[in-house]
Amino acid sequence: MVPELSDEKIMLLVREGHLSELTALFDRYQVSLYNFFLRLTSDRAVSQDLTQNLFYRVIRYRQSYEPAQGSFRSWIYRMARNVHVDFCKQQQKGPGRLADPEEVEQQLADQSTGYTQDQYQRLDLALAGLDPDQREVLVLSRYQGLKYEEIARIRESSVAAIKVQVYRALKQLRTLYFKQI
Amino acid sequence: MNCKEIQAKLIDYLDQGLDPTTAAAIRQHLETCAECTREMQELKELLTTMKDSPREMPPPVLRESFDTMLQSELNMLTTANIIQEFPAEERPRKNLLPFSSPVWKVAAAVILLASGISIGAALRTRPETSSTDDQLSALRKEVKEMKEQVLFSLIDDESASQRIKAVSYAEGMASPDQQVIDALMNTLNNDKNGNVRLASLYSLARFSDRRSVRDSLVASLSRQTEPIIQVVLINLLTEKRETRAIAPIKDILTNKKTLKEVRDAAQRSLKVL
Repeated sequence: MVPELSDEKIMLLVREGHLSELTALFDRYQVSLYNFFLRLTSDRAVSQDLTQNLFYRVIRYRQSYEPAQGSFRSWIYRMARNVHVDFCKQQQKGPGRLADPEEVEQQLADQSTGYTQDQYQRLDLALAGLDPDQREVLVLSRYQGLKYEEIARIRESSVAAIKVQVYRALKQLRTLYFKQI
Repeated sequence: MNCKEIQAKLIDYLDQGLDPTTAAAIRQHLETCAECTREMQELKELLTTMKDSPREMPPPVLRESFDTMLQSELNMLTTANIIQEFPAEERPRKNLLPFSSPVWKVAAAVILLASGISIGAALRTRPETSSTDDQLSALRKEVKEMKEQVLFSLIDDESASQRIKAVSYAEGMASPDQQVIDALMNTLNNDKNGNVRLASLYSLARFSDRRSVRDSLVASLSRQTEPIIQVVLINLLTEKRETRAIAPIKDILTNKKTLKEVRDAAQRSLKVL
């Protein structure tokens, strides 16, 4: 039987021109990446487009993949991040502005009047109230379950700096989330 | 540790990423500090909710559009390779194409041209990427071994496209061993599908600097009846100035069943050889 290959080996094959091998990586990553975009944009159609764009870029920039520079996962997430940044620039809303923070606060305040919402939805709303950078670091760390080392590579930062960012983002999120109850 | 220091470590505490001594100290503090306990519980609820948040499945159309995109990229790659490798003076001139003849003839001419070009492309050695990184070269070695595994596991597959995939893996190998060459040669001579035989020939073309490979290719020439393969084989051996191919090429020329396109290629080849 054909052995199960690591992401890195498959990507090396893709880099060498065996483009159809990318299907295996697509199957491994499409759900995570789609949800990554969905958390950042709250828009299904956009998230589909961005996932598609991302894999298009993987093909286009396959030569830039260097296994010595880290895992495939950090490579593709770094690219995903750029796809999202470009999308936001296109929208001319600034990076990842989901909603006006004041609007979110108002919405949250409205909900505190007896109406019990599903906790996941409440969390989504609170998340939307964060600034885009904080939202991204939390999505990577908590929803996507990436390690601090990986996030540091993706965001071209240090592990210590990422830990501080996660800490601050969680603190902010906590304030927004528990304000709703 | 005071409350501020404790709170700064609560995430790691909940992630169970602390050493046992620090974790024990925090646990002890939490027993007596209501403020920190509240913070810890809120944080815990938040982290658990995030961790357990349901993931949405992307709609099937995402996979479909990926497949379409991949297919069109593959097509573009093939076309790009052909254009890139084609020398300007040999570019086909439209007025030379036999527009009056049946469509299959035009198609055949295009395929024959493309075959010649692909051979040219295959013969060009790719630039070696120099890397001193041991880890990387170990990875490359593993990839090479994996390619061999794929090749041998798919070369007898039922589906022709899988067999083409198998033989095309050999193309990427820098120096395949004799076992790989034999497998390709066997496919070239015996596979029931013409496209698979052609793909196999392309892979072999890359290693035609080896005398043993050329020997087998010369022998294969008299076995082949498929016009495309005959032409590609003749062109390849001519390019390699393989004089031992003269006899089988003459045989092809005298054979009454030989197609005109093949005959032309054979005559051109004999002039050179």
